[in-house]
Amino acid sequence: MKIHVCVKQVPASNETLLDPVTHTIIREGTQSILNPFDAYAVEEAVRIKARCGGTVTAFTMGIPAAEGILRRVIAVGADDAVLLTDRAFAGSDTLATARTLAAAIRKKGMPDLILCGKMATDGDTAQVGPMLAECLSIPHISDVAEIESVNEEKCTVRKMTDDGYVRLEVRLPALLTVLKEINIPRLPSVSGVLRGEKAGVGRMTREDLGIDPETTGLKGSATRVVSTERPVPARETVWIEGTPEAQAGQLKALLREEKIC
Amino acid sequence: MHNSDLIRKMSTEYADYLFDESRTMGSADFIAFPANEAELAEVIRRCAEDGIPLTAQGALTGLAGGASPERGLVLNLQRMNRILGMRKDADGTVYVRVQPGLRLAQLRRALAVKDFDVRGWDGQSVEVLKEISPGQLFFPPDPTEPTASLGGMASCNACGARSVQYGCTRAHIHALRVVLADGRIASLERGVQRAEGRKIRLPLTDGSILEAELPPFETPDIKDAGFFIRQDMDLVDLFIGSQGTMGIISELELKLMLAPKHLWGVTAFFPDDECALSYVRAVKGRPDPGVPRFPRPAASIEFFDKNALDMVQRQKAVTPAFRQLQELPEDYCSAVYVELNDDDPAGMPEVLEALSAVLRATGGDPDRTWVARDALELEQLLFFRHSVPETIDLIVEENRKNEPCITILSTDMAVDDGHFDELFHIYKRDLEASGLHWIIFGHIGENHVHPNILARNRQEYEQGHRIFEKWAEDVHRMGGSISAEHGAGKIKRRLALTMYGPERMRQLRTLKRTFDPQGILGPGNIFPPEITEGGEQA
Repeated sequence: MKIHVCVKQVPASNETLLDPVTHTIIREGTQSILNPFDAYAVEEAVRIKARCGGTVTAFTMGIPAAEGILRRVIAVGADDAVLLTDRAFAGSDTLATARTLAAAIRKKGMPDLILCGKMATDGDTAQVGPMLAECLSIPHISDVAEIESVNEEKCTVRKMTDDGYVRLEVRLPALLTVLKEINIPRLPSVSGVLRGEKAGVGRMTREDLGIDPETTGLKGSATRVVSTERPVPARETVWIEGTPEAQAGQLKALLREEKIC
Repeated sequence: MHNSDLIRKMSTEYADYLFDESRTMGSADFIAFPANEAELAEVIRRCAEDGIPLTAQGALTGLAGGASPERGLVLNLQRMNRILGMRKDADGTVYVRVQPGLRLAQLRRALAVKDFDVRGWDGQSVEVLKEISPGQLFFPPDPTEPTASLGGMASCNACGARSVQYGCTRAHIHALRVVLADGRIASLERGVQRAEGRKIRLPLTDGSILEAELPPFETPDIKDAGFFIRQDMDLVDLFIGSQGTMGIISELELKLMLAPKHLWGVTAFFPDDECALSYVRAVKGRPDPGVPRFPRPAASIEFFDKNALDMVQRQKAVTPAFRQLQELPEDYCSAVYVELNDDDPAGMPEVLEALSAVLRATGGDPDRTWVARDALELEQLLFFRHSVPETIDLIVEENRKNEPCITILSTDMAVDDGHFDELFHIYKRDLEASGLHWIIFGHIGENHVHPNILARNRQEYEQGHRIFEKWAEDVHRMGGSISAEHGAGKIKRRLALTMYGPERMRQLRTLKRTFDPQGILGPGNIFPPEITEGGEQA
């Protein structure tokens, strides 16, 4: 079975750091890591490969340094990896990213299954996976909590919904986005890390993909980020102190004041 | 003593302040939560006036009962949890001033993300802060429990996993402010206020001087939880490790270090303990014949025996939070965690190649390892390490339902490199012969693993204590320390007696009396009852 996994490099912390003295955003010193949700997709791909045989190929689009996370994916069991890197891809929104990934996947040959993390922890959009499936004209199931069975024809999954879970069957090729509850991603072994460090990582540019510059990067993006700001907490914490009786009395008065009871 | 805003009568509301993590149940008549040094001194002055003993508490994470009160007043310092300022010396070393109730995790976070509440800081502190970047500096001591308070860590001279590279808490405390038993305050800086030979002249902030004489012996060199006595010693060291029996720390100035840019962790599994011990010797730079030399000093080396791994595996089935723990490899026996740091990640493959060779030569397998290379992955390995003491806590809590006298029975005895294998085999032989439930884990890099006995009833609990007393004699014979980091507190004060001997213990009591004539500080800590009997409190 041929499995592709799409991964992203994200900042290690999604906490916006403000300098306590200058009150400006601190950008330095932030480590980059494999998007935590993608680690579940990689683990699931490696587990399916162990059960069914086949190959796992990882894709990412990013700056040249993003090659590091691809080596990490190889360290935990992927067979090879492709880095899509080109100045022309810079500024891509979710749609432009999906189009570019789709072009690379077509170029590399359509797999049986594509796995993505539910979303990236930096953008939190959860759009690229489903958009990629649409670009490739294959079905997708998002928020997959369990892959119950899979073969080269079809796959049965348990998908989380607002009301609980639904069991769905999908014909392959298909794309699944996975949740954190699907597995516990393994840490690499010493041998795995060394394998990752030595592995060759393929690179593809816009020209390699043969895509129109108008469809990728900032030019190919349907959306623009107008501004970003840190949300200001609008709620205040009130500490109630004293004996249990006094605390209960104060709480009652506060709830009344707020017209909650 | 009167009930007031500052000093409250003990009530059921404060029941959680009668014991620490060891589950040593105490009793008290009063409790106070001072918010600053002036309030702290006021509480101590009032205790001194009324002759009321007091026990200082930080975050209650201690494992020897040091913060469990033995009558009198509970002096809880959790409200004194601010970072007060920073300074930089001529060499560029940065120091941070903190209150004793600040938790290590809070300090770590503040330094990692540069998030400080600078209200009340002086201009110099703000200028120093401007120059540092997030994650640039760190405070190296690394006790297993990161919610420990800095005051508590100083009080028992906590060591933790990274002490193999960086030393204990003592090495990173530059200055202290201490409130003495009569409410007077001493402000002490390392290298400035020192003993002259064995004579002490302790300058106090009110201009007075407290004179004392150090006992005529030196405490063990191998780790030094408990009293620290040396000729010409820095006077700050009198208050580090002495568990609130000499004075109460009201402020600490901590020496920070440049944080390593990259930190990796490797957990390796071994088919038996002997292979694990051979691996540990190799990564410590003392390889057995035929084992290649490992070129890099490890920042931390931790050991887990099969019983510890089995215990966590069993707990994983019932504790939801543990389900995220990594799957153990098949046929595991013991495991060793090694932490390595470097400023250049490009050197990592070479180090891992060297580690692979050491693993193969010591019976390990580079495939049966977990490697962590970033903050998230390291968190997983540390979570695994922390799951062991967490599980012990859960089991002890459960066993206490059958027998309330049960506490955590964990040792932290330490010997030098030459004696460690002998001690480890004594631990295993005695435990295997005991028929008790036990595990061994901990800081093997510095030769102080933590054998823990999980007593299920009073008889097993008493048997556990007897085994510990026997080990204290073994360790004393080897020139080691009965407590490398937890302190003697109340659970191990009998072991302290074995280590010091009655005569030296009395000499230490005499020193304490000079500082605390009424014997109101830290009742029951370090000094066993036979040393304090005869109408005098320790």
